[in-house]
Amino acid sequence: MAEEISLSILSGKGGTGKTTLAVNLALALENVQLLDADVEEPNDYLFISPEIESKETESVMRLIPEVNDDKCTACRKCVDFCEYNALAMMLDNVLVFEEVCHSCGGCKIVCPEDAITEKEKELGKLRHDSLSNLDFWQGELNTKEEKAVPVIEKLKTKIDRDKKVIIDSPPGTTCPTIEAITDTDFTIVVTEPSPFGLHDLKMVIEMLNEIEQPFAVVINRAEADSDYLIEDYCQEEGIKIILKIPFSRKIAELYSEGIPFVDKLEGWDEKLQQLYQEIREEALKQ
Amino acid sequence: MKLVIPAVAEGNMETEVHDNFGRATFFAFIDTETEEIDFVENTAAKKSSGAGVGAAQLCADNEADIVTAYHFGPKAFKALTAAGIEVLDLNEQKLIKEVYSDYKAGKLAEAEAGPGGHH
Repeated sequence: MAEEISLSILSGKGGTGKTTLAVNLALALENVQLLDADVEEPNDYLFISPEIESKETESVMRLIPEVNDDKCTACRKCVDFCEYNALAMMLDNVLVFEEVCHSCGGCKIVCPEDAITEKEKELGKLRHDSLSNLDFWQGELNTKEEKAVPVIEKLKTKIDRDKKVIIDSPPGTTCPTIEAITDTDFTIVVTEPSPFGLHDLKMVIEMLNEIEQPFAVVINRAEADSDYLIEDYCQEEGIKIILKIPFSRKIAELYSEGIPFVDKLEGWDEKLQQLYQEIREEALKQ
Repeated sequence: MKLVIPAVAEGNMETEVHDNFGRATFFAFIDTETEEIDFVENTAAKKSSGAGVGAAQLCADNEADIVTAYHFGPKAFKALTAAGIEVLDLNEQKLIKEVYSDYKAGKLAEAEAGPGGHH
């Protein structure tokens, strides 16, 4: 069997076309695994597995401290230790702010009175659906939770390297995004030909260069009279534009109905298969 | 009573109010009996997360009785109220002296917890 690669799909801002590309690429290929790592608002399932809520789920847990007030002497060592201000000492009581706790366990270690224990709390969920040719996983952060990274870490334990792996990453340049793209062979950055699109593209590229991640650009909503915005920049920086998805009413209508455009528009299956092969060759060279 | 006002710099009654509680550069502590004003640097402002909680801790450690700001995040609000500190909302005031005179005139309303910051 040919060696397959893992791709992460990323954009600087939301709403540029990550989902469009991830879903259509996954459906155009065979023996593929799609992981939706945009855990704050996963939406690939709308096109792939609309009934995913009824499918198999797995909890992602994390540990948070619990303070036994009878043992606590208000020495404050735990509060002073916590780099994230997840603990506060108010009127000789330790308050725990679960949302900002990074689950490092440090407070428990520094407590001289053994007053801190840890309890498990559900941070998020993984959902799974197995379609013919497509193994689909989705990470989901629970409402009110702030730490997306552990959910993405758990999601990535499901990666099957015998398959073509596509990771739909969270948009932007923050920790969850970096967690999603780390260790993928290649990143596709989706952008749109607008000043906003260009601005956010530059931010993402700066981040990718910083972590030395190989990448290329896809222009979504491409139009002859505005593509120069992205093309001029990419040419100057020596960045490859590997695909354009046209600004088309048909594509937008299909999207709004939850229909992947590869199912309805001719030629796109082949185009996306070829895209994968080109990226694969490029990635395996590195 | 010790009244706390977030400030953009170490200064005096003419100094501007900082628009953020957790990320304020300094806190002005006004003793309402003597009208003395002290400035305390907000060391929590530089923390990567939980600035509101850290700032609330700093207010409590410095024995604040009343804390004012344009906006309190849910965590800062919870921490301050757990310390028994009165929490009041600002709106139009720009300078510390305006906050102080509005406080004395009883014009500041009790605050509610608003949405928190971004991460």
